[in-house]
Amino acid sequence: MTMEGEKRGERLFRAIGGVGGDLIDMAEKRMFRAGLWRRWLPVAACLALVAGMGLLTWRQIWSGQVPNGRDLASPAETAQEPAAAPEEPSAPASELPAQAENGGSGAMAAQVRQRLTVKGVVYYVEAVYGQLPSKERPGSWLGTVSKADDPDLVGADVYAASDTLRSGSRFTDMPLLILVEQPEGYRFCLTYYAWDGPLYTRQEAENLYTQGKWDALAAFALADTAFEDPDQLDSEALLRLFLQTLKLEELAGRRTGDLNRYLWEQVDEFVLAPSEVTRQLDRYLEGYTFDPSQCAAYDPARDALVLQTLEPEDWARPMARRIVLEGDTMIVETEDRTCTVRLTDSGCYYESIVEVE
Amino acid sequence: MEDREIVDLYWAREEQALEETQSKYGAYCWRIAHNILRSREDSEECVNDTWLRAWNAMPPQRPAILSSFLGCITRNLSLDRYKAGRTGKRGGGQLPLALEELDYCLPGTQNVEQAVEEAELAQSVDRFLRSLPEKDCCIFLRRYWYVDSVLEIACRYHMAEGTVKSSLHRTRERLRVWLEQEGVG
Repeated sequence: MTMEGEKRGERLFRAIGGVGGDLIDMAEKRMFRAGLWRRWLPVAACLALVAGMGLLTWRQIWSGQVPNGRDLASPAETAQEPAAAPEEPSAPASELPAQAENGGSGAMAAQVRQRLTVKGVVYYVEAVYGQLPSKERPGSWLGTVSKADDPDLVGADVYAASDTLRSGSRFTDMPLLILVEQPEGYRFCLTYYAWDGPLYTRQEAENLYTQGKWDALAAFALADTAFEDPDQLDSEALLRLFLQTLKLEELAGRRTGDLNRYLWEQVDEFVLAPSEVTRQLDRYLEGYTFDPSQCAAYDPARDALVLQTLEPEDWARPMARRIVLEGDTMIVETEDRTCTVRLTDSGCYYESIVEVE
Repeated sequence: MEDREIVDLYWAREEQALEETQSKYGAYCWRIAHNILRSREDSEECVNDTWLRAWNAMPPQRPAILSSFLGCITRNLSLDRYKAGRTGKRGGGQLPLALEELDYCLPGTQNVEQAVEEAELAQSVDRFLRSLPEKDCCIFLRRYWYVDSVLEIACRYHMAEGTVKSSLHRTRERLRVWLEQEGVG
């Protein structure tokens, strides 16, 4: 956007601030009726019921049995499940709430943390369970669950919960819909912020390059970071890189029942398991060594990194000036850095970020 | 406490007005600030500044809708703070995108020095929004007043993202035509 355009946009933005208070109030309070199939995804209503409900295992809901009352796993506990063996799903991480006998309006739900593998990509998801009365499939088919913490989800179909979510795209913060078919309809679990794969696959990076979407590829060229080998990065630098690359919404388990608020709005500190940091770093780097005990924020009592904010220190968003794709290597040049990225079938990884004179 | 009662407290210079405002609208204003600033600390400071501005504004003002009155103060303070601290800010959230989207709507002027009074522009936009179907108006305001993301709007109104984007695109185009016809820009 040009500077003149910037001024126009801001002027109009300010002018919009002067519209009638009744319109602003309407935009806050007015709700619109969901479309037919969306009425059976009562996300906000379901999540609002989580607090104070009892818990059930997925199997017990399936068979209609009574809950046994196990507690929901804490984020730290769940995140410490072996990152070294991501292909092996562990035992179900969490419990489910009691299923209401309400004729299948999908009102009962709970947040459950799961790891799912779909077409080779591991998703770390918050799942909400409910029931759809109809067999409508709202979005495109994305694949089947090949591995999951909850074995009852293995083999389940995964659909886009939005008709705008294109098949095969991992880069969406719209929910994925995982449907487990039953004679009377589908049981579904709705996932939020499903992310746990590489930043880009090789094909995605090549597509972005071909399409000239260099700003997206410039995400590789992080400011305030430089190294010739990932192993050179000390743990504080790795933590800083983690914060720079983190999208707050991706931090699993931080949503509340109100879609317009996030749990992290209510907390005074952020307690991060080391595995949450390394899971994020694994999307960008190979061959690094992260020792959380070397970080100032490390709390040995909780074996966690305790931060007052997830906002990193100010840094400038880089703009790509030149990108070269040569075989398995992509070179991203910004104003002050040259970043070398290795493209593999499993993802694209930084090899080096070098400051230029 | 009803808005009218809270405003009465301001007029009576009772400090309880601030407590009631914080209690009722603290989260609301914080969300508006955070959508723009994407910083917890900055958002908190903006909200605190909002209460001070509100204290100084009432009296003489007696807003009919306290939420939008406070929200507007927060929004303006947040925008000013965003501009002041813009260099080096991480991400910037939705605001840069929103500004870029709006850039197209205000007709490019051949005489850049000829400015339209902000109030006149606001009134024109107000008339435009009132001419829209309610849903389109709400979507537009969620995007460009509240600075919600497209996803958040889609979830709030139980719509697909594509539907929200289409609505915004159509409305922006209509706004551009409207402002041209009104001679704004």
